[in-house]
Amino acid sequence: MIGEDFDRVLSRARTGDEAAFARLWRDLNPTLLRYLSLAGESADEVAAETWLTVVKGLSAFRGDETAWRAWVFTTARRRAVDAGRQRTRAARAPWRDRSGSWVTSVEPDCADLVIDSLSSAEAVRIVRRLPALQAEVVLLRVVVGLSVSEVAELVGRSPGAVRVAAHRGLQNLAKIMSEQGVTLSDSGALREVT
Amino acid sequence: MSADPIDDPALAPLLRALRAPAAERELDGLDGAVRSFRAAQVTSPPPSSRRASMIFTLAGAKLGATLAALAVGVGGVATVAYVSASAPASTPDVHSSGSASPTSVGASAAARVRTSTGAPSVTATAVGPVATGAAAHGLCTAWSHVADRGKAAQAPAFRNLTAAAGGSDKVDAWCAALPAVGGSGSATGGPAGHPTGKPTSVPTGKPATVPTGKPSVVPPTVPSHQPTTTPTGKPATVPPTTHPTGRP
Repeated sequence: MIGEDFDRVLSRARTGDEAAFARLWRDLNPTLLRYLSLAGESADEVAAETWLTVVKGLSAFRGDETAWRAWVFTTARRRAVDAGRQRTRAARAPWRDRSGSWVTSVEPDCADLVIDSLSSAEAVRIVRRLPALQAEVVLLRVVVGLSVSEVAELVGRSPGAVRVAAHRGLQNLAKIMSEQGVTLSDSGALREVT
Repeated sequence: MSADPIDDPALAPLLRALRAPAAERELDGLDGAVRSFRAAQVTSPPPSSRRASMIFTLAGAKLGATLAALAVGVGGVATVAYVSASAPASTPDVHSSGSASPTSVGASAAARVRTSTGAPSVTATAVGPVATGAAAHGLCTAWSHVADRGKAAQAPAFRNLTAAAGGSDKVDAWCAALPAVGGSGSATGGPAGHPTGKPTSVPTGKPATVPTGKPSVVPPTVPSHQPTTTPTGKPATVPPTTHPTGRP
């Protein structure tokens, strides 16, 4: 988050100040990439397309930092849904994925994760074990920091559905993490024995 | 609900990783982003002004629709009074435009009639035969594809259209109010916005009184007045005095 400076930075960026824009970009792009990584691939491309759209609309944007984040992530989601459609079209399965869902879940893998020093990419991969909506809502709520109503609008669900998805998602993640922790400490113990 | 799961200590390492500061790799795209930012600066003013003008267009359309609806209310009464007061033979002009589209029922048809007749009735009659009925859709479609409306408004065909609408700036609203026979109306300005609003108040007024006139009666009265309603005004052709402002 940029915080107090945000209004000033945004207005400077709006008038063409590249340094100000770079600050906005640096602040948000990592989170944006992590969010877009829920699709599993092409996060960089989709992020670049997102910024392309954002810079074109920047002069007309009005709002505070939360509104800014909501706007950027709404744009990102549209691009991600488009990219998802292209993928399914390329896979010659146009009838699938009509929901507009673009998140691809993953099965648990057996990679050894050192839980205390997870990379953000590994963390996103763990989140992707959740059902798509839960994964997306958890990231938007907990990592991007959007409100329930903003997330609801963004994903096209009711606030109630978003609350439930966030709650269950976090519960599921806690379970995954504690199981992972057990597995890891077990294997660590085994290694010490042998 | 149980305690907020976000407080579960098992989640802490995961959340920490998800919220971790940017990795080097995640900042790689900055150059490309700044380039597109720079490119957008060059083209930025036009988009924003276009957006502004679109807002005005929409506002204008809304306003036009409102005026049309008002005109229907007042004009409907006026027309009824007019009809009952005068001999049908002597005043075919009032109905001409209305009868041109008796098949296309509905509120917007009534609204369209009113926008033209609600104004100085003489001027409006001049337009009736051309810009109402089936021709209107074609004209509106053509209009929606014209880039320079200022110039286009002076073309003979569009002159009738703008006259019917009450000005080139009102054509979009007028076209939007057309019944969607060929679906052409939606091709104009803000598709979603227009059709929703006004028509509900409209239908009360007219339909019963409309069919009296025969379109065939119209032409004789027509040529006396010029349909030029373009705001820019062609002084050479016609003084813009007959401008139907939509005030009944």
